[in-house]
Amino acid sequence: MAWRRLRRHRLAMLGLVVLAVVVIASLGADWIAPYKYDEIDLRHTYAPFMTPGMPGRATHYLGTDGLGRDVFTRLLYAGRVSLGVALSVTILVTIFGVFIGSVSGFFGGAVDSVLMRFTDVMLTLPDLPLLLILSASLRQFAQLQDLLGDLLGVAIIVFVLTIFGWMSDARLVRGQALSLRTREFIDASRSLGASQARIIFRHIVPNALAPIIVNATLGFGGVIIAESALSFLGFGIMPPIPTWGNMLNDARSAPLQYLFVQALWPGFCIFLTVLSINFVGDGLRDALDPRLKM
Amino acid sequence: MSKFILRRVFQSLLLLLLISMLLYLILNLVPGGPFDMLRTANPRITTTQIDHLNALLDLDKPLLPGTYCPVVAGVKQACTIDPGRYLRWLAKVAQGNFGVSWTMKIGQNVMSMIGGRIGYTLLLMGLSTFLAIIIAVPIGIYSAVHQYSKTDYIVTTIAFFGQSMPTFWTGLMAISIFAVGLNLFPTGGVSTAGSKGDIINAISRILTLGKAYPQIAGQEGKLILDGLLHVALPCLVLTFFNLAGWSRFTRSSMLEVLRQDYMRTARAKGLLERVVILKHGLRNALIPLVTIFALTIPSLFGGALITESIFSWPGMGRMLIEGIENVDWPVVQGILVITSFLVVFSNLLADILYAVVDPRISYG
Repeated sequence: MAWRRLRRHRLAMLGLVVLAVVVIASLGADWIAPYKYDEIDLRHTYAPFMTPGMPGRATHYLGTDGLGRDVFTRLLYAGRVSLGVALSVTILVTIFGVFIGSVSGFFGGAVDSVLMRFTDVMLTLPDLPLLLILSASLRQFAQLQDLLGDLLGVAIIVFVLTIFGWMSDARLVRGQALSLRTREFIDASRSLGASQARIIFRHIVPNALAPIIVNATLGFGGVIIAESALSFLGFGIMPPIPTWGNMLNDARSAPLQYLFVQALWPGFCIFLTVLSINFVGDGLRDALDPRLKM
Repeated sequence: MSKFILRRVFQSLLLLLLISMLLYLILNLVPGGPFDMLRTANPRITTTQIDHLNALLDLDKPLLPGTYCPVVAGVKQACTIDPGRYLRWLAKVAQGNFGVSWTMKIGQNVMSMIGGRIGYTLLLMGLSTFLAIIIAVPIGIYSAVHQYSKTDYIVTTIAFFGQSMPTFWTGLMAISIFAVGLNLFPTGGVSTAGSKGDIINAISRILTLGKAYPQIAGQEGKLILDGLLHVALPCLVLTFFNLAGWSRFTRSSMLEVLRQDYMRTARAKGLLERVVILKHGLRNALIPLVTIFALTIPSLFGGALITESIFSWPGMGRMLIEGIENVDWPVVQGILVITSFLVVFSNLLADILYAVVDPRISYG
């Protein structure tokens, strides 16, 4: 039923197709990409698009960057990192937010007040500056560096974005839980002797699933933008691992006449991915809950 | 009503206290101090010297109330009870003193550093917010009144585009197209190199009736024009970004109003459609927008971190990033506490305004 309604949402279907292409292209980067993402070719720096590569090598379809690295290749690998980070953050945020929200709404009273005041504080804290501070300083813990190695940058960004991302889910699920817990089927399962954990996870959460899915979909785009912003400012994932954000940061140090081409593609990838996911989210909202239609 | 306001004010103060503590603790518990760069710049500096420098900034004292055992020249001194750095800092902040800068402008008062930057942020943010509202509100209303028309589809789709384009991309694109390609605007900064002042100096000279900045006498008009040329691109980027949100808000608020019974009543009275829409519709649709406007107040003062740094605009947002890069915690704390205060304050203001502009709402 919901799927049929989603099928009719033309922009959402378009978004889904574009998203599928982006996901397949970045997952298949190892096979599709003609170069390695850190392969340097100092004779072809800032090459325009469709520049022939070295003899016997593939064409630089989208040109090269300041170190002669193939832009098309880097975009594919960057997509893998950006999508991977966004997916992990979205999953973690949803789990954490749903947990806090359902506990808060189901138990109510003092538990609810404490958890919701905590949520308020987290919402009031200035998130972007704190993300910058935390990701700059967590990098300096030597033990973390030994433990995670190259993945440290990725792990830190997933961690900090999760810390500052769960609040909207928690509020949403709390609202749902507050209204669901007075319904008759909850009383019924309680009188049948179901434990509180069972009521929360088998009855409350599944009934609140539709808005959770919509929120997660729309949040996914926000995470991609946040990760790119951090990497763009030099506080996120560091080169040589490419992300769309740090490719844009590299573009800033390019000579001004190359700025347009260097900034165009990574930004376009961010734009296209976020736009598609927003269309899908919008379509899902209409399909899953027609009452919310604006 | 006054009881409600009193309770909300009290809650807000409590929230602020909690936030100030969290901010202070986070900044002081993360590794890295103000003298790390000194150590890398000068390998001959000894740990004792660093300890001495830290002691000058009270950094050897405990964070929270506890015992303090100073070490002078390697010799342990008698321990005393210390209120801790947080409480000392809080007491100063309550008097409007955020301490002095550690690394950016060593020894300069943070408040005066902020004072030197706030004008630039207010100019940029004020101008872009104003433009966004002026353009977005009519668009949103038109789009709502003609729901599902071609124009409505185009407007909502463009709004979607705007929300999916991060400012760090639109900013770089704006520079490469309008500044580099077409050579219409400067790529960044606030005034042309070599000029004796800038637009903010000129405005303050005019506001003080020619007392401030005597060195730019007679050049005010030229400097203001030059400044407007410099503010154009960052302003364009921010306006475009805000436009998307504002037009969506206006559209959905107006759609909500158009459904109401009083709209049908107004039409049934035989009023002109224009009067129905503008007098009965718009005035009610603006109610939620007033509160949304209150919620944008913090960004008017806090500035835009990313846009300001792309365009080298010397506002609060860029100072915050510079502060973080230079481990200048007093500056960072100052900006963050002021913005948090504004966030809490504007939330409170939004609640109260809502009750003031909409008589249907009462907080018993």
